[in-house]
Amino acid sequence: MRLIRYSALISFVMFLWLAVKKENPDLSLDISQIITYYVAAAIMYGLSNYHLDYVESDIRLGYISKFMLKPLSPHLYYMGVEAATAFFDICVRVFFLIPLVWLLGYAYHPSFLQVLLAVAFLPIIFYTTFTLYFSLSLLGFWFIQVDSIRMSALFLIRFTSGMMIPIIFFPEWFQKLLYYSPAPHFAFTPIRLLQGELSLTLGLHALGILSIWAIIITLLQKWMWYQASRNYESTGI
Amino acid sequence: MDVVSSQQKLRKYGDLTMRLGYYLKVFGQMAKLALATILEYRVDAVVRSFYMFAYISGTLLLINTVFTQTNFLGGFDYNEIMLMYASMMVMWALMETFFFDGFKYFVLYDIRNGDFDKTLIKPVNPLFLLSISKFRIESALIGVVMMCVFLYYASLNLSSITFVSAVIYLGFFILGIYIHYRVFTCYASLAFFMTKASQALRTLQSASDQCFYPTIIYPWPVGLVFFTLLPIALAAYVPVSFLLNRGSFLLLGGTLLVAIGSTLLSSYLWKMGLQQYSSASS
Repeated sequence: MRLIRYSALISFVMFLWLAVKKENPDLSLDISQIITYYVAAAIMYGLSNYHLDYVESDIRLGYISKFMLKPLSPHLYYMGVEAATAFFDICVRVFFLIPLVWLLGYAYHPSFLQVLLAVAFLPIIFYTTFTLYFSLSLLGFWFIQVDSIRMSALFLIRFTSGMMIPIIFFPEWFQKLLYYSPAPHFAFTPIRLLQGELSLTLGLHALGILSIWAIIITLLQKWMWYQASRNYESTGI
Repeated sequence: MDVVSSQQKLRKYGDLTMRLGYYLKVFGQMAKLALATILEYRVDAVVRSFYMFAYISGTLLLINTVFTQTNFLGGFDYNEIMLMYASMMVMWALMETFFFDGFKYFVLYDIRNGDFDKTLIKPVNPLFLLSISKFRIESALIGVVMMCVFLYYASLNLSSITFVSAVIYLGFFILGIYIHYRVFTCYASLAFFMTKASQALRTLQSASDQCFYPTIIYPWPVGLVFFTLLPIALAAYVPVSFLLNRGSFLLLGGTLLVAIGSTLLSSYLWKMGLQQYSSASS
């Protein structure tokens, strides 16, 4: 159900852009590019879309205490659980959606190095987004309604990562601003690499930016965990 | 004979009025409880509405980006599409305020941990009680904001709107809420038979923000989905088409057909589900 749900949501947006193309034949993306773009977006969707309600619930109910006793990082433990789901999601979507694109008569045309670089993005996207959402969930040590803050971040990422709107349709100044944020590198950059429409130099530069953000967000998460464990009383919040 | 018949009629209407009064009282009590909770946790309520505004910002970004690339979508211009968006948001705000969370919690928790038993033993219709068990008052705030947006865009389209079309719009709007309620009941009934029924409700909720555009822009099987399984067209495209005097007999007939179909199907599924339910083991 989850696999169908997210793929369906992305396909609805794809139909919207196909309708725009029908109204405006001068649109900078052609039909083939729109379809391959959104199929790749549907495949990658599971890498940046998590609902970590259970982490917040563990904090509230005191179940997080076990991580204070055992030599086990809560960040790595929860990430392991999500990694398994994300890996399974991606495999199933690749298995079904790539042949579908081929059957429809469309194809991706990347070089071998572009594919390699796009694949290199995947674990970093997963790690960065998970760590970001996990850090926001850690706010559960201080507040109750943390899910709203986490969901706000999720929506922001969904609309600025290129998952819904290809970044090239944004105004120039907004594209430049976004380039130095992690958001477009969660979806737009790897998708354009897979389409063979982003140079390796720009791809490597984007990977560098994303890696720097991954380090910053990791430091933030570690600092928050440190602060939280100082105040925590193991009886739930 | 006539006297007996009139007495029976009177008793029947008396019962109906009493029952209606009783249900309104239950509804009022639940609303009072929700309001008391909100007042107790004021900061939480404000924080909870954050994500709604984040989602609205994202959707507005999508609409505005689309209209930087085209002037029309399915024959409707920017102002008319905004009218559809605002109409859909007002309807969803109303549904979220009064009954969406009730269905969601039922599917996610009540049916699995057996809390539904408590609903069953109360002297109120269980479907009614579960649907109003979780009010989300802060959604009403979104509703008010979107109502202002709706009135603003309606004023920009005033040349296409008449008094009659406005009344018809209101009728379709109410019918849209009724059909959504019935579709929610269908999805909630699925929880008696499967564990992932919440995904259907969540799909409907997520899709509504991205699929309120004129149904004619989608391939017909997808359009059909937006009239039946995910009745988003009945929250935006259909009522606004009638408001702008662009409705057709096909839309009218289709909507009535969906209303009848969803009523029959939801009643059947709910009854089947109740028969299947065996206290905390569904």
